[in-house]
Order: sequence, then C-alpha cells, then structure tokens
Amino acid sequence: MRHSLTLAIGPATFRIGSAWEQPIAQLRALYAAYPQDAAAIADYAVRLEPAGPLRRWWRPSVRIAGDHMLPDAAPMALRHGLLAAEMGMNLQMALGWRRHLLIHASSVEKGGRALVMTGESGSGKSTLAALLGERGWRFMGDEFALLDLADGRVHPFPRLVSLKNAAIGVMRAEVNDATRFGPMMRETPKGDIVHLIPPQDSIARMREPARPALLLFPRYGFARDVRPVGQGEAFMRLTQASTNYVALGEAGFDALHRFVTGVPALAVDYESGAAALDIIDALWGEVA
Amino acid sequence: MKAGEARAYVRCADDESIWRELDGLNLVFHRPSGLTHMLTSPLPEICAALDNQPVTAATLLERLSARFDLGEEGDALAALEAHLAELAALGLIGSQPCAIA
Repeated sequence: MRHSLTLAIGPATFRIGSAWEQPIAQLRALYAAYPQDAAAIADYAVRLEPAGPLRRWWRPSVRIAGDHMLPDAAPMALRHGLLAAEMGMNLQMALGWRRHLLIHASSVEKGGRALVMTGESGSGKSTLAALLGERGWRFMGDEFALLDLADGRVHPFPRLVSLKNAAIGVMRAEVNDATRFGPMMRETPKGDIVHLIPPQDSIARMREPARPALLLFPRYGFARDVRPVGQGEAFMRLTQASTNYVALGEAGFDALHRFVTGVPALAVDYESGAAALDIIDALWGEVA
Repeated sequence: MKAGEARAYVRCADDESIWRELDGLNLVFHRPSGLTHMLTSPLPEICAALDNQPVTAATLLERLSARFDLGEEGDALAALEAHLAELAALGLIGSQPCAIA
C-alpha cells in the first residue's frame, strides 16, 4: 500500500496500510509514544482501501480490509479514516486474537491489582476507565481486557480512548492538554468521536499485566445502586462479552472459571461520573 | 428416536466433560463439541445417578426415588424421560436403543 505504519499496542502488532496519507499521518501522530518499528513482524494487517475504482479521489470512501473481515461492513467517508483504522484494528483483535481470553471490557490498575469493567455500549465503562486513568489509576484499556490463559492476570491493551458524544466534553474538562486529543469526527456511524491519547505511564507500562481484583458491570443513567452478581451470572455475561471464548475451547473455559471464582463481581448503577467514581472508591477500599 | 422405542442411558466417559460448580449452577464444558452448558437441578443429579451400565428411564427413576422425593410416579417418569432426551441430545450422557420394553 502507498502509506503504511507498523504499530504495537500491548501484546499485538498491527501493520496498517492506506491508499491515502491522511489516516496514516493521524495515526502516526496520535500513536507517537507507542512502538512504531517498521521492521517488526505484525500479527495483523489492516488495509484502508478505496471502496471502488474511482473512490480514491471522487467522494473518497474507505473500505476496511484485513486478515479478518466482516463481509458486509459498510464503507466510511475518508474524513472518518482514522476511525476506520481503529475499527479495523479492533476487528482483527475481536476476530483473530487467540493468545488471551479477550473480554470486551475496560480496565485500570492500582497497586498491582486490576479493576475490570464490562457492559454494553453506553454503560460508561470506557469513560470511567479514562477518568480513573487521570485520577491516580493506571489506564490499561477502554475496549479489550486480555485475560492470561496460564496465570489469570489481565494484560493491557491501551489503544487510544475512543470518546463518543457526551464523553468528549467530560474528558475535555478532565484533561487540560489539547495535544492529547485527536481531531473531532462528526456524524460518524457511532455519533461524534474524538480520540484521546492515554496517559504516558499507561503507554510506557503497556506490557505489564495486573492481577484482577474486582469486576464491575456499570450501567449509566440509573439511580445509584450496587448489587452483587453471582458467579454463574458473571460467567454467563462474560462469555457473551468475549469474542473468542468459543474459539479458545477448554483453555477459555478454565480461564473464565478461574476469573469468576477469584474476583468479586458487582453491578453498579449510577447517575453521573462523579457518583460512579465515589462508588468505585468505596468498593476498591473494601477489596484492596 | 422413534415414538415408543425404549432407550437405555449410560454415563459418558469422565474425561469427555469438565464439571465445575458455581453458586448452585453446574458449568459443564463438553470436550467433543467445545460447548459450555449451564445445568441446574435436577439435571446434574440425573447425570450423577447414571453409571457405566445402560439403564432405562424407569430403572433410573427407582434409583433417584431412593434419594429424592419425586412426586407422582407417572409425572416423574415423563419428566425424567424428557430430561434424559435433552441431556442425550447435548451429548452429556449416552443413549442407545434398548430391548427391554
């Protein structure tokens, strides 16, 4: 491809190729603190291709291609090329990763122990992890928690934080450094999106796993409530939140069983970010 | 299974599945299919009552009745047969045609 970048995030290395310069230039700048060794062997290839023969110039549309693809993914506008690259990388992880049990969850660490938060889109898990990452916790990832199949530790995957809609204002108020924010992408298929570069410490320690200590199922927009989640329910919900549980077979079963029997799980409903942070502080005090 | 055909049921080899208990649920990883099942009572008790000798549902019911209060025999047998067919379909127990009526 004309333009390319090799990039390491946590244990995974991606080679991203593009027919256009812009998405690669944006990725190169936003991921400047991450290893970008052009000679590294990539786990995955992601390609941003024109959606049709003329689409490199005329109303340019990006089609995401790679080692693992969804056949009916709709092309995206070139102005959303950075998002297309991020989605391409996520897709490779979700469909192809086999070295860890991959859970669709955010995670942060303090004192060598990890807090893992999982929930559906809109639950606030990503924003909460980003907020905690600015308040004394190590941000480990906002999208995927990688569970070690052998020892049960959580490995970081601290890609750029993908801030959507209201979360953009929340994090702009929290992070007093404009250079950590990517360009505003309006009216994407997921609404308005801005990427946030994780704190320096998070990137520097992206190969450092942590032992999980608490699992939360946050839910934004509900009256404050904290309920225990049984191990059986936690197991079932995590199989649904994992993209590779079935593919890993017995190793995934063992890893998930170890996780739910070793880590207390709670459902947390909250009305605001401040309320969630209060609850997390209190809960962490009990388990840490 | 043909209607009215008698079946005998048998325990599968122990290494075919992995059982773990999680607060009242039984998690079962079935190695041949790679599927995970969550079983609640009475399915784990039914599996545990089987051994290497094939038995009919009626024999198994006697065995279970000695340990549990199963209510009316007619209802219990029908329910047990349904559970056995379900477990056999999942591959968690063995099932074979049986000459015994």
